[in-house]
Amino acid sequence: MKLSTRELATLAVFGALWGLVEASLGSVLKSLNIPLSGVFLAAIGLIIALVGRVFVPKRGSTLFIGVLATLIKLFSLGGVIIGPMVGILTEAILAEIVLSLAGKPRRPALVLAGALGVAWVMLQPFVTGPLLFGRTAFVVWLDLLDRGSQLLGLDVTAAIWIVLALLAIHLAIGGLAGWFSWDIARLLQARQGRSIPQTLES
Amino acid sequence: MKHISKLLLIFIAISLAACSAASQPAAFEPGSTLLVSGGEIKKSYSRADLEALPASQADFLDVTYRGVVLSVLLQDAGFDPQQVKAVKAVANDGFTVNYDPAQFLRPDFLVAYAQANGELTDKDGLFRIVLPGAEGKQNVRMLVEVQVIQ
Repeated sequence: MKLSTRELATLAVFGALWGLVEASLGSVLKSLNIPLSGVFLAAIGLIIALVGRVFVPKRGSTLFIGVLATLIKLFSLGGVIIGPMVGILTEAILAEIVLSLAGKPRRPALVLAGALGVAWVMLQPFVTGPLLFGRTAFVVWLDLLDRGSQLLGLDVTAAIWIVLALLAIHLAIGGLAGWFSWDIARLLQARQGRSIPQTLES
Repeated sequence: MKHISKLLLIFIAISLAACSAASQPAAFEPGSTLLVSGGEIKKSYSRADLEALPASQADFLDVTYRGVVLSVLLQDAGFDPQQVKAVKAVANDGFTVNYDPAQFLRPDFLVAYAQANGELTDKDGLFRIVLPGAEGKQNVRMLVEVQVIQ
């Protein structure tokens, strides 16, 4: 990946924006204990990263934004930040893989990248819980069912429905984030008077 | 393509509306007993019942609490703590926290019924969890039930 100074500066702006959102809004949402706060935070972060990818449509640019955001999250207020840092980085990696495989940015690729990135929010505790926080996967599973049960009003015995519903909500919100990031990128580029590349035409 | 966007938005709106309607906490009656349950076992403990068990002390946020070590309570209720896979603490507003064996087997994991130098506060309720060093939400207040998952 060879980037010009202008491209590097552009990526730095998007990375800083994602990092600042995580460090500020993330801390507030965590302290308020709002349901699905991680999902909305991931969606906002991925919108920023995906718009950044449209501005610098080169392999590695989404990962670059994610790494910067992760570093900025280090300066976050509040308690344990290793979990969110792993989250930001993994969301960026997933988005990067999808967008790299898709080639030039297109709306469907952004939708898929957003959906997978946000879906990671649901799966991450199963990785970081046992590996970083010494929790058993079983207890992480119970936590997921409890949260889903309270959110959806289903009994915890309807485990499969809880998981499917949560997954659908995560994928839908992520997909929508990808969808909007395409429109936002086009809008921003049009306002900047940039020529919109062929791949950006819907 | 715009139809897909609209459908996604409608799906999310309906989901969130359903979630907000469903996520009203299932309030428990703030009774004067603590229920310890799991499988066939269901046992209620009053404060006097807990005080009859061996007492221990543990600190959380510079406050020293007096209560019963959870593994002692589980044994008294008829469980073998070594065979328990997880323990769920339930507060009277429906808030729950799950604990794994590394946590609930700790000798300083208390079900507290008093402070060392007085009563629990109104915010604490009649019983509360005390897990020193853990974050606030793991120290469940207004505790009404301990569910044992084997």
